[in-house]
Amino acid sequence: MGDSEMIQEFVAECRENLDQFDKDLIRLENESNSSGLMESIFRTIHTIKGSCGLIGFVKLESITHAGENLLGKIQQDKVTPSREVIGVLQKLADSVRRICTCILNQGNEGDQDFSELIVSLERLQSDENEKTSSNNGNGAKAASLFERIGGQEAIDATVNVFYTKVLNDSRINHFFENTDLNHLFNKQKEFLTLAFGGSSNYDGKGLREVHKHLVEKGLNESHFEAVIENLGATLKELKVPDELIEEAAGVALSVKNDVLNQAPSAPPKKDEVQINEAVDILPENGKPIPANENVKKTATTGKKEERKLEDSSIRVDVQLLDKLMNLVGELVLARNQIMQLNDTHQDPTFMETSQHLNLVTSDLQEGVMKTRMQPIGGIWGKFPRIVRDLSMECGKKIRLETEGKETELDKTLIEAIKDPLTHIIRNSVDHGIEKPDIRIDQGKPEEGTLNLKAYHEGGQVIIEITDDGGGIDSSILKEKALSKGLITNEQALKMNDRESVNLIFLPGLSTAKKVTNVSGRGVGMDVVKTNIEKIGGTVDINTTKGEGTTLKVKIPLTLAIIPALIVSTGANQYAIPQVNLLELVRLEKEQSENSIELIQGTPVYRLRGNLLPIVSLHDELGVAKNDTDQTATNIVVLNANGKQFGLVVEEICDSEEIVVKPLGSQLKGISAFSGATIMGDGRIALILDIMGLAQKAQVIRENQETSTKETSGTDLESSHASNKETLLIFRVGKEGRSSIPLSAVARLEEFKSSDIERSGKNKVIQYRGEIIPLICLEEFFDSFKEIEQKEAIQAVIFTQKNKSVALVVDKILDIVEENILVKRTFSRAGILGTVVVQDKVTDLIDMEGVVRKMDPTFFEDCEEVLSLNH
Amino acid sequence: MSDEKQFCTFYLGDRFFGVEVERVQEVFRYQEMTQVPLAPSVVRGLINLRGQIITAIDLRRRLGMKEISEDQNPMNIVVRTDDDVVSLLVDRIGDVLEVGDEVLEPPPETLDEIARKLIPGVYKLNGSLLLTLDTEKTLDFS
Repeated sequence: MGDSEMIQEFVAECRENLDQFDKDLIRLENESNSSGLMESIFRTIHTIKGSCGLIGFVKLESITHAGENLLGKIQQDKVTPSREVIGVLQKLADSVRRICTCILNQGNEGDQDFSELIVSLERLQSDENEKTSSNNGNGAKAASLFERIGGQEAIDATVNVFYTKVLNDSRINHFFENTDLNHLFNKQKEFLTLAFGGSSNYDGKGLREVHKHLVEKGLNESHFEAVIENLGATLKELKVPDELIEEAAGVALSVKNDVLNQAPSAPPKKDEVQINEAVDILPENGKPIPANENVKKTATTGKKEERKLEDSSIRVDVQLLDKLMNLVGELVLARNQIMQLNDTHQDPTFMETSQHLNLVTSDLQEGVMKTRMQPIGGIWGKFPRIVRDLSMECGKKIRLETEGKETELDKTLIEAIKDPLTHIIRNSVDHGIEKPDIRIDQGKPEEGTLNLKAYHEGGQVIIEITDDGGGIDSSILKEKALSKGLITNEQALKMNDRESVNLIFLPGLSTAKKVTNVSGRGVGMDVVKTNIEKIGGTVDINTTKGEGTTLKVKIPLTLAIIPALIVSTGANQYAIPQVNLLELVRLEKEQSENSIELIQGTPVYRLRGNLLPIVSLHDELGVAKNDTDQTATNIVVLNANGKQFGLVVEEICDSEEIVVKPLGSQLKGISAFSGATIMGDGRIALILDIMGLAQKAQVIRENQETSTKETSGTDLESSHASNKETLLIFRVGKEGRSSIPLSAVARLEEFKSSDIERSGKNKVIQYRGEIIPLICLEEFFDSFKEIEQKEAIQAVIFTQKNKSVALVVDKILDIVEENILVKRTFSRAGILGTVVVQDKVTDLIDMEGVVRKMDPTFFEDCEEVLSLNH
Repeated sequence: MSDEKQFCTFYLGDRFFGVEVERVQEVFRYQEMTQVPLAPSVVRGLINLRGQIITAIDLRRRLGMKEISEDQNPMNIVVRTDDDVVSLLVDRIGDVLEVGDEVLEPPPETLDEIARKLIPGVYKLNGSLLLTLDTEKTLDFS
């Protein structure tokens, strides 16, 4: 339960604070008043008061409030911290402790009455005489009630008159039948001497013992009131000033409580503990009160119990935890290295030991991680207040519901989401939920509901903030964005609902009709988004006009160590955070040829009937592939902000726990990487930022139409979904300007004419240990023409899986990246159409058609073709 | 009295440079680097320095100088900035020199623009000129 956890935390904090408070009090008693000490004391009580007010412990709040006032006076030098004051303050600490125990055991503050404590706290702060009394015991005695009333004689007189009165009072006199009145007289005198601040041998036990049988006889509160009344009358008779009578009444009240607490049915042990406490809390002006053996014993057992509770939690510096976390990170790395060695070593002892190390490290990592975990309820605590205040300000009625406040996440993350969450809640209250009259008009309940929900899902923490307000009108958002020039007309037209709602995250946009105190300045949601993204989270908005809005904030559990999939492309390894990972698809070469299709040049894969856009990692990163003739295609299916795409990587290595290390500021600008990590072998792997990568590859935005007709039907690697196309321009024959997409080109080569050989009627050439067919484009288009004999020929190598073909061209002219539009479609074989590139008409070669014509089997199974070619 | 400053010196070709010695964390030999795709060419890669990942900056490229000859491996000077630790790749490490500001002069106006930005001063030493390097500006190339 989140509630009980919060209370436990509160109690632990209180106890800790009280310990400090006690120490400070003792120092205050022994040393002269230093302001730092006083501040610490004041702060302690203030903190307790603040937090118990928040949770709703009224009793505790009233006690601490009185204490705070007194401490305030001491701080302002209006009251001297005499022993009496310190005694009362110690009593205050004890009372708070007692309430805390009650709270912990029974879940409430208990039914003990602390009004006399409050009375004495208040008395001390209003008592101006305090200032004049000095710090030492004699001085305190001089100013005590005992002295002011008139010393021992007065007390004796009081007791005599008092008992005369009591014995004449029909309400209570029956209690004194068969009582040793003399004994009682003496005890009473001793007690009053002590209670009023004189020195006494009274041990605090006798009176209770004497009263014990009275309690058994049915002594109750009303009887005590009668006694106090009599005492008051007695003092009056003895011409004691009124304020002193009041003071004495206060003391009598405390006696009443002490005596009555001794409920006859309670187990004796408990009684004694209470006596012990009662003794402790008496003003200690005289000598320390000797407690008897029995009391001592029970006191220690009581303490032991308390200690056990205190030991259950300690406070640790977050910096220390950070350091531990880093060390564990290093340990994880070392573990990974050992585990790699494990694969090569066959020594069973080593294997066993490393397995053990593996287990311990994992446990340790988990444990350290847990130390940093805190329930999210910690920051939710202030939201009810915010919502209440804001809704009053806005004239709205809003009920705040919370679910899952026990959901835990890393402390640094909790701190980081505090402000964004507060902002979202402010927004919901101010803009989301309508005023009561509007709500009634719309047939909704007058009171709006704001729901906060937190839960774990797939290694992430999800926080949902739902209101049943008016929702967001995406058309208004669009208009606003347009009028502020944040988007263009064209963009606005293309936007779907979801995209336009997301405009709310643009900087400088606010839909509020007027700027209020609360929000509407237009600097909100973009900051919320950036702050959440900064900690690796995402924020998603879902709104239905008229029904409400849900904001879904997803944040990682922790930032330091994350599970990741290691892939490799080119020379490097890359880590893909597991949170983005959906599944892995491996296509064997025959499969991949057929199953990766092209839509307007964009490769897609049919994943269980759904089209999955394909992006290849080496194209996005601009790195060369390690191994050009790969047998299979590895697709990592990823989720970027709710959209799926497939990332083609060369190799899928392993899944590993990685320690995230930040990149230097020089590399912060690269959106494709979120950090780096050190692999088991000491090499560095970059961590891919899937969101950034998806944005770069334009997977996240809606694909724009391209009017290009892509010729190479088998181009896996072309990933750009934009309408820009990189073309290789070359000359065929004397004039013919032709082009093919550069993505279809494997290499450009120059061969010597003398190297051309023949195999059957085909021209072939030996190239990289393979025999590849030569297709002379000029011959292809004009087969009657003999090709000009040149020393060297230029060729474009086109590779499909293991097979290559060389297209002989006359001259390579240029490589251009341009928006291309097909102007005219030819019916000629081998030409897809004509385009205008660099203001010149250029033929677009149908590579597939050309190759197929020369070698119909080229696109069929590899082995077969190879044997044919030989 | 003149202000004495200590510089960790190094060479790029025949040019003689120095960075303030307080900025320098350590110096070490060439180490394999992990290249960072898409990074500016000035960033040569990432180095694993005892578990810490640091960015290696090619100082020749930064100053617009020619590439180092292929058979020569650069040295690393690890410098600390306010919020970062980076490694500067240089040809050769020199001594730590203590120089007084009586021989300090601003660089001549005729220096090319990049160099003038990165080199705030020149110490006229016997037989050589020590060019000081502003590390903050050197690392700010965004």
